[in-house]
Amino acid sequence: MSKTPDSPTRRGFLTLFGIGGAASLAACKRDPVRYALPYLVPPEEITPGVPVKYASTCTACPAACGLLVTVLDGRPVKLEGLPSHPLSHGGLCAIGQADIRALYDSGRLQAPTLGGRKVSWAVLDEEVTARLAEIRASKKALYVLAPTLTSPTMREAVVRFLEPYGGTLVEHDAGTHRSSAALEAAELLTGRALLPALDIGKADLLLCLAADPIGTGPEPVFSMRALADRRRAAAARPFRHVQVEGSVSLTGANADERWPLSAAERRGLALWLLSRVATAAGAAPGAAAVSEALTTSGAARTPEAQSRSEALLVELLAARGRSLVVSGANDLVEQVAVALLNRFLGNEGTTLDPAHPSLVRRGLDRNLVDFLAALSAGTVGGVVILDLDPVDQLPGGDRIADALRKLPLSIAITDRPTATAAACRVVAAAHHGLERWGDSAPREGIVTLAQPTIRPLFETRHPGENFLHWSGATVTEFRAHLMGAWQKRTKLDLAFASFWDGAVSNATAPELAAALAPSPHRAGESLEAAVRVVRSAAPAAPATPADGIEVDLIEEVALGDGRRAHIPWLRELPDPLTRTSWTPCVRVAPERARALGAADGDILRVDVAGRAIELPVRIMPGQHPRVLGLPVGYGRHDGDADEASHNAYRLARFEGKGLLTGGLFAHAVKTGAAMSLPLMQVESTTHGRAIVHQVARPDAAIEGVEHRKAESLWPELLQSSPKWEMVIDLDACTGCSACVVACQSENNLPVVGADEMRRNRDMYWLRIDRYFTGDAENPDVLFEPMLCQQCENAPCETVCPVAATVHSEDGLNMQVYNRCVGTRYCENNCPYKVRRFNWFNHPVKAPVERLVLNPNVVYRSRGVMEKCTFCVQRIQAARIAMRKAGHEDWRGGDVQTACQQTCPARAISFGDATDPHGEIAHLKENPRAFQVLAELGVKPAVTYLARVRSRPHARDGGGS
Amino acid sequence: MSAVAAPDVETLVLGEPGYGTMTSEIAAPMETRPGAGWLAIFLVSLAALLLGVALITYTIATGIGVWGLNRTIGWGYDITNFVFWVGIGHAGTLISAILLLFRQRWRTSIARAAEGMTIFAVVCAALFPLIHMGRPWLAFWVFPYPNTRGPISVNFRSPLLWDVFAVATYFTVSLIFWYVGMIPDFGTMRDRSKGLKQRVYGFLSLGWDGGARTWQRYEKACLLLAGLATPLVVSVHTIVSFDFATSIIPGWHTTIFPPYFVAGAVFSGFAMVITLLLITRFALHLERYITAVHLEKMAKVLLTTGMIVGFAYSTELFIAWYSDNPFERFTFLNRAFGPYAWAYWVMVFCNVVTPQIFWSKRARRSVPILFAAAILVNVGMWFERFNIIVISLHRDYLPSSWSHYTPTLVEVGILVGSFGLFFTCFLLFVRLAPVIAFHEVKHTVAEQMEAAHAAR
Amino acid sequence: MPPVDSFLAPSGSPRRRIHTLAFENPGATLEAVHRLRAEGFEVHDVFSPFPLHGMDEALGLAGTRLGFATLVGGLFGAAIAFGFQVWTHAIDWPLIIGGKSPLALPAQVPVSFELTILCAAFATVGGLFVRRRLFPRLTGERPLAQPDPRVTDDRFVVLVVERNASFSPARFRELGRALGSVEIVEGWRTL
Repeated sequence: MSKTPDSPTRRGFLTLFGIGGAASLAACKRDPVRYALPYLVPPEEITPGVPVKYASTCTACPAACGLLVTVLDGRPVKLEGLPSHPLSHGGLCAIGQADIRALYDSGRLQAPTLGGRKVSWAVLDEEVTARLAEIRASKKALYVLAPTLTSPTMREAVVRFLEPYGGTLVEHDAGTHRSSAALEAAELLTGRALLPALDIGKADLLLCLAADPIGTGPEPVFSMRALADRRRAAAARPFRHVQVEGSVSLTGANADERWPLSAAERRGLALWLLSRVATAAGAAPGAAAVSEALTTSGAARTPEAQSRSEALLVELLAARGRSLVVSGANDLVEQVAVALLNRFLGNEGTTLDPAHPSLVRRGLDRNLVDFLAALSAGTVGGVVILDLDPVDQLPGGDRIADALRKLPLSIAITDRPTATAAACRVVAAAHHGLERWGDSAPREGIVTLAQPTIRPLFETRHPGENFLHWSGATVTEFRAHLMGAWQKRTKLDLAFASFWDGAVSNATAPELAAALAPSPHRAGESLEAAVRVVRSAAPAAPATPADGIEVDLIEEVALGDGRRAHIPWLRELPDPLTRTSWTPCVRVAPERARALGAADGDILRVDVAGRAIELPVRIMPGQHPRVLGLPVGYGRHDGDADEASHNAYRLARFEGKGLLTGGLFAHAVKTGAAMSLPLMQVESTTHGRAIVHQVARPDAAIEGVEHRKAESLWPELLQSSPKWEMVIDLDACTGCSACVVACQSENNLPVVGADEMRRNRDMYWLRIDRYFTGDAENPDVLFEPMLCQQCENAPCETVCPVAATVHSEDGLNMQVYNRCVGTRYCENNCPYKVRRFNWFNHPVKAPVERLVLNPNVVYRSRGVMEKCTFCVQRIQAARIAMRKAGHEDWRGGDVQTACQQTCPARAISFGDATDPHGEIAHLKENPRAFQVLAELGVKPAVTYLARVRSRPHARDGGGS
Repeated sequence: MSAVAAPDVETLVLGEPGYGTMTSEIAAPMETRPGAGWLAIFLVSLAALLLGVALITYTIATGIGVWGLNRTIGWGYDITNFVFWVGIGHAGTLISAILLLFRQRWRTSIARAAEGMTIFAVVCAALFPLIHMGRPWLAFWVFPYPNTRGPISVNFRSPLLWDVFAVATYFTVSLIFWYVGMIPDFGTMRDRSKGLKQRVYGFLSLGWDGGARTWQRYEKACLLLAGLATPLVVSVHTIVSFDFATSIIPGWHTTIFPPYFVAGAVFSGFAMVITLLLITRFALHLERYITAVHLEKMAKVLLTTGMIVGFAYSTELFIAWYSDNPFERFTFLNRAFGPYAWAYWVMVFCNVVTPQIFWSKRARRSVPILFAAAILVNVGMWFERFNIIVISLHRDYLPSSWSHYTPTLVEVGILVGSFGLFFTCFLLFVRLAPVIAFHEVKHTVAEQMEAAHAAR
Repeated sequence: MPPVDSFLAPSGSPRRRIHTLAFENPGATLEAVHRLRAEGFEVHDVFSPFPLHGMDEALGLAGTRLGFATLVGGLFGAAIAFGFQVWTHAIDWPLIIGGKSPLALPAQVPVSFELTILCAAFATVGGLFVRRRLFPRLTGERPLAQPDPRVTDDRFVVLVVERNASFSPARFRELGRALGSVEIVEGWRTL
């Protein structure tokens, strides 16, 4: 690669862009993709510098949220949520935002390999078909191991591929939010192993048992939007959210009330509630049997736990038909109990919708266990592993790897050099999601389409095309296959072509869903079986180990199950709860930490059934004293070069036909070693300062905050319209950090690495401050997104000797990079500490990785100050559009900042504050409205709405 | 003979030397080979200077990231050193200008050295605002000059810009004052030297003839310059204090800073003068001209300014409590009991406790005690600036941004380097120019003798 | 060689006969000047290693107007500084900085003050140099006006000019001895 300067300026960038093209991909590969259709507007030929937006579907996880891909000069530069998407409604999570970085990652697999050697696809197909013939002859078993396949066409292709061999498709959801037990429970009660859809909007009481729907659960974006909308409506219809869990989850942090319970206690609570509810339900079918079966349960509980349970029971019964109980535990008994609870509470059909189940979780542990059994028994002839990494994401991965190496045919279809790929003989390098055609049915009654937005960068292949080739299909080009499949399903023959164009350009069409047959009911649904399961549950709590410690494997918002652990954006993203970055930590309750004599950063050795892992301690108030939270996703072969010893998946345990990732009994000791943690935020409390507020009721005003206009010594300088302002609703904000990554992607924020994070030198323009208030052991968690407040009387402007930061007429505090000499006086004088200084150059080494940079935002060089600009490039684009359209009035002019656009909870509003009928003006009237440090008279342009915590007897929040 | 001296005349020069003797004694350093003492100190200083140069080069080549600063604490050693060195400079101007206006005869023996110290201190000070920039190669942008970047001018509201003007003016005026003061002495050197030396001193003496008319205007000019330098020296540290006083950060935003900073400056400056003069006196054998009387007077100044500074500290604390502003209160509690408490108490000990020893006459006249105390005061005054800057920044409004600052070796090295620069310049100065003003000391002696004879 | 210090005298002025009395202390010098002038001698100038107080009166020198230069310089500096700040911030290129009005006068005080001092200082020194013809001489020669190199060391020299025939060298020498002069010299010199 040619020598390149360290810090691309915009012009420099274009040069590098060229180099990048030359070095990493044939130039022709970057021109607009044939057949792909832009969103709504028909495509003229590409105009250089003018972005075109394509609608598509996110493939980062099975939730399949809608995507709006901004394509500039033939390459995607930014991902946004698709507003018209029926589930994600324009929201996109952190991992989804970062997926574009994965597309340009230099670590991707760039060509197919056979036994480690690069080969042509022809050779690979030849080899595979030969081996397949042998398998057919030898009558050995053939397996396809895949994550939940939400793509009907893909699933079809796989099934057809397996047919001749009588092979099996094993779906497995990696991570700690596998709903295997929940699926089995649903199977027992509804006859379909599918998760009923949650309708939080209809619920007045949400009871989550170790479930994390808005954090790392199955459909975070959808759930976050639903929960936020429900909280907004709470002024009219009161709403409460109670969380019962051992480890603090994002959902728990956002609950109105958190009750830390260990796994056994939680299960006991579920059964006890069930028995009481069943008794109350009386006539309901099965109720009698259940209450009779559970008479003995609920023993051995402390008085206050008892009274708390009673209170919970009263609330549940009061909210019959308007309540919703969800469990995230992979424990059949608890899941059945919860299902029955919902049934006896009359929630089925109201807050639960079994008719339109969710299809994003299909993995049943029993199938996985059978497969692994067969694998070790040696009865397996071949395995195709699609987008999964069992070697790194399952306990005993080494044995799996050995088994794979012994197989005559082992195929890994993936875009990453995972441990599994290393163990497989055939590696079929796969397209990234943004290079693929595809479809997805995340829920019955909803189908969305995905279209490529860039020609494949490398010698990769669409995962589906592999199966088409290997099953000798006539049409092996996936787009053609996809169209054919849908033409068959929709039965539109002549009209199809035009219909298809419309469907693709909008990424969905009602006809598609209508054409898709619902998955069949299996006969033999039986309440009796369910009751039997419940009865089988031992009422007494299971024996606890000597030092009474149990481990929950948890997913972090940034890494999820770890499949994207190699993306620097996600590695650096500070966890919303622990505020750590780059490093996995054991989350320990303060009480337990005292018992262990451990402080933040002390290395703890956690031993689960002989398998140990050593991680630094992070004290986490709200954690159950006996429960340690260990994050998975770190230490993977594919991960960003961190020690394999950090892989917490190795601690999971198979038990019977289930895979346990929670409530694992463990021992923990300090090793005596310690490390300094890369912390985004060192202080955890507000020190009694009124800088963030929470109130008891949605319509309650904040105590001690008067809503008067700040007096100024000087005449108003900003008379003109518009004046850009932002309102952030802390009651909607969940701390999910999608906005942080969106900002990073939009504004080319550099990644600084763990060492610089340790030195508090992060480069985030937008951060989410996290404060604990109230009870020190189990505090309320308050999230406060903090970005440049664009102060009208900006202290930073006055002090700059060279006038490098000045104010614009439309109320923006502008930073002029090329005028800045870097005195850092502005940074010192900023009360919010939102300015970021480039301590070094942050060169983007690999040319292909430079393609992710947004050419509309200059890449800053060392020695200059930078900060949030309210996405000024977007404002300018909108202004140009407006002028071209020939009107001068901003009213209704649609400008969205990157953070606002991606927010799944719609917590951020942005617009012209001078518009009396505008959203901003309206929101600023809200009694919950406050401005941070308003007393300084800097007149911030960002207004916050206080957090609401609804409690039986509301405790006052306030900063203190 | 001191017995004979009338009560209103102190012996500022011992043993009534003849004018000629004085000339040769004072000119000696410029006419003899340097002694081992001078050479040793000089080499050490030079080494320090070179270290500083190397580390500054490294910093500019790599980025400010090689220092210990972070997103919360934008200034550390850099601006601390700046304020420290500017402060040092003040004593020189005070002695040469203010004491001149007050007709303090005792200033004559030490004024020249003090002025030299001012110049070199300001050079050291000016270094730091320059290298603390993220892009020092663009430093000239702080000067208002016609440019092609649109008619963009500097921001005249920024205290940093005020600093540019204040420090630049201060340096220029001090330099002028210093040089004008030396013209007659260069004349003296010209008239007693030969060859190249004579040419050089001749060049510098601007053709000085020592006639009555020349002396008349010369004295008038000096008086006027003193009159200008006096408000200037007060304004400079006032403006430096504006860097903090006009900001919004608790611990910075306070109206007491201007007087507090000026007093502190004189305090630290006199400490440095004492340090230097004790060294010079010892190294150049000038005991005759720098007498116990001088030392005692300077000790008294230390005592006074030390108490002013102490008073300022207590006022700060009182106001913090009295203002009832939670941020303000926290800041000062955090200074005294927070993570940097040690730095605060070092400051209090060095600046408030140490000078108290000068209530005793013996201490005031004891060289070792004076020397130790002066060093301590310098340390204390450096820490005062460190406390104001770093402790106020590291915990400001939003606890989410609180952080900690630990200097890197690079920063420490640059501080050492600045001392190297300072002493190197000073040691060269005492060898190349009359470190004591011939004409002023002779004048003093003349008056001393008149008074003495009058008393006989 | 050309008289380096020809500046000290209007050009073309004739060479004059001069007489000098050297003394070793200020008191005697001052007394000498008084006596000589009383006797009608024209004391042209007195050279000394340091300023002699009372000498101005003794020689009847008029006061200097150097302070006037200082004043002018100061006013000039103030005007320039203040005007430039107003021009850049309020007239030429107004920017919104910190929400303050373009004409934020208090903020302009410090710079105006500093420039006032700076220009005043320049004016003062400039005045001195011009008035006393002080400028760098490349040949390190001492000015010819200076009758004796020791006047910058330990000598006090009174220089008397012989105006007309009535000047009596004998009387002069006698008086010199009476006044305790350590050296009495006579010679020619351009003045």
